[in-house]
Amino acid sequence: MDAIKLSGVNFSYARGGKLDNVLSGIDLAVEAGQFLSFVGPTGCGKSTLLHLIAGLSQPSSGQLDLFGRVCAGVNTDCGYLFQSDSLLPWRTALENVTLGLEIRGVEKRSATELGMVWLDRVQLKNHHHKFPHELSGGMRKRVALAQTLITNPKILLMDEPFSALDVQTRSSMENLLLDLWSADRKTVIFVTHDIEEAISLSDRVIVLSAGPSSHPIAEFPVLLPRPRDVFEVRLAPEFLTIQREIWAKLKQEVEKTNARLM
Amino acid sequence: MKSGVLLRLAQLLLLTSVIGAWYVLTETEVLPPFFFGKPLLVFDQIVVWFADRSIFPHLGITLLETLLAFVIGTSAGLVCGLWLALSPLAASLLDPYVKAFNSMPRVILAPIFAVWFGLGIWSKVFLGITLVFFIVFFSVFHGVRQVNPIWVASAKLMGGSRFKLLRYVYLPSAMAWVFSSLHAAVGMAFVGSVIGEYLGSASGVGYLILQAEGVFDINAVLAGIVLLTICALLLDWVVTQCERYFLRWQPAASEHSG
Repeated sequence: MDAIKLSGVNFSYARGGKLDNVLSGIDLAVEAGQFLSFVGPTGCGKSTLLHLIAGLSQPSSGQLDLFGRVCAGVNTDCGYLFQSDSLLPWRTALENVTLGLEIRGVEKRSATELGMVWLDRVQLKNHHHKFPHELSGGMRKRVALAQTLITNPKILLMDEPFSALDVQTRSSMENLLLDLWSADRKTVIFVTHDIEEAISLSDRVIVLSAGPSSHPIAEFPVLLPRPRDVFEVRLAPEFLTIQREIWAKLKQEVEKTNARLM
Repeated sequence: MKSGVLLRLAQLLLLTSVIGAWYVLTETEVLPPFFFGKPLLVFDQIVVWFADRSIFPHLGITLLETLLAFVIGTSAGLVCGLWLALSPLAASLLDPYVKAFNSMPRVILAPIFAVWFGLGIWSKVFLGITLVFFIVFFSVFHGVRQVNPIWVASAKLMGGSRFKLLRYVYLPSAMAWVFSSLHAAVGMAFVGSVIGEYLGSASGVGYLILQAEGVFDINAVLAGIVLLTICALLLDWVVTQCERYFLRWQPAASEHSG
């Protein structure tokens, strides 16, 4: 059974009297435990796609199934790591991590215990009492990662989560993510504009066409062995081959986007 | 640190020089003491009030009215602000009426409240509530509408119901807005009590001021004003302390700019 199945999904919204097509004719099946990345030019509706899977917006037409069940509302099976900061500024690192447990009615003491375990996993045990503004950008992302994973979602949706981080912090976050992911292999949908990031993390990379009316135009399996180190994997010759192939596809779409925006 | 002390000294100097000028001008009768009072006599009046304890029942009544108006008006403003911000239908239905009530000079309600609630404390409390309510209401209303949509989306995905969203996201983020409005609300609560007392009552500091004015005792009028100002400053200080505690998660102003 597929973890995620999109059949003929369109998404459009009315703007200034005319209909804007963001996504059209998306057919996609993701098997459970797969790490799938979407790459595409700016404004190709990557975030919209994640919103649809999470159930935060509903498709204009078409159907979404998660684990064989038709979905209509918010999908609480999904954990969502947002591009911008999603931590609540009035809660400490620990309180942010345990937020999902508290909302689900888990008793305070066991929530705190599990929260500390997760803070330890993201190497922030000693910062549990700090408020978000006292943490660095990378630390905040790690808290957000723990916050998302603590409720054990079956599907993890990630919207350019590391794009605001500097290169070193970013690589260490990517390695941390792979580490945590390999423990129980959740289904991951990762959206990025960075081809290298997509290849080094994923089992499969899909290229989206330029908007409007975005749709998948090419798909590449990534067969690099796991466990991977995001630094070393970039030196493998297969890596470069895939990178060149993906870029050849993506380049045309980026040019289309640039032409449209000029 | 040193500049902080200097600033305090300069502020103190400003106060003493204004009082000093007042003293000199009224002693030399450049300003007629009959209309402007004398600082020492104002001070004497306050001392006498406290020495013979005659001020306590009046001050007690005024503070009680102010606190009731402050607490009830703030809670009602918070609840209604959250409610209207989260239900667009009710907000658009009530919008013209809210605007009308807000732009109306609500002090003119005082005579009506006096008829409805009598000359006791409740007519003053209700006047204070109408003044405090709108200040808090509007800042909560706008605050909630500016809540980061990502916080809401993220709490929804964690399984948050409407009530949980209110408790974990909307209410805490509205607190910052509530506190910014409370400083203005403190002053307004006092305005409600004193205007109410002034228009009709048998006790309270506003009543004392009215009595003194009736016999042209300008020193007692000024003494009443000084007393009310000190009380308002004290209440504002309490609000600041609560704000520091409840908003301790906020970065200090200097961190913001840096």
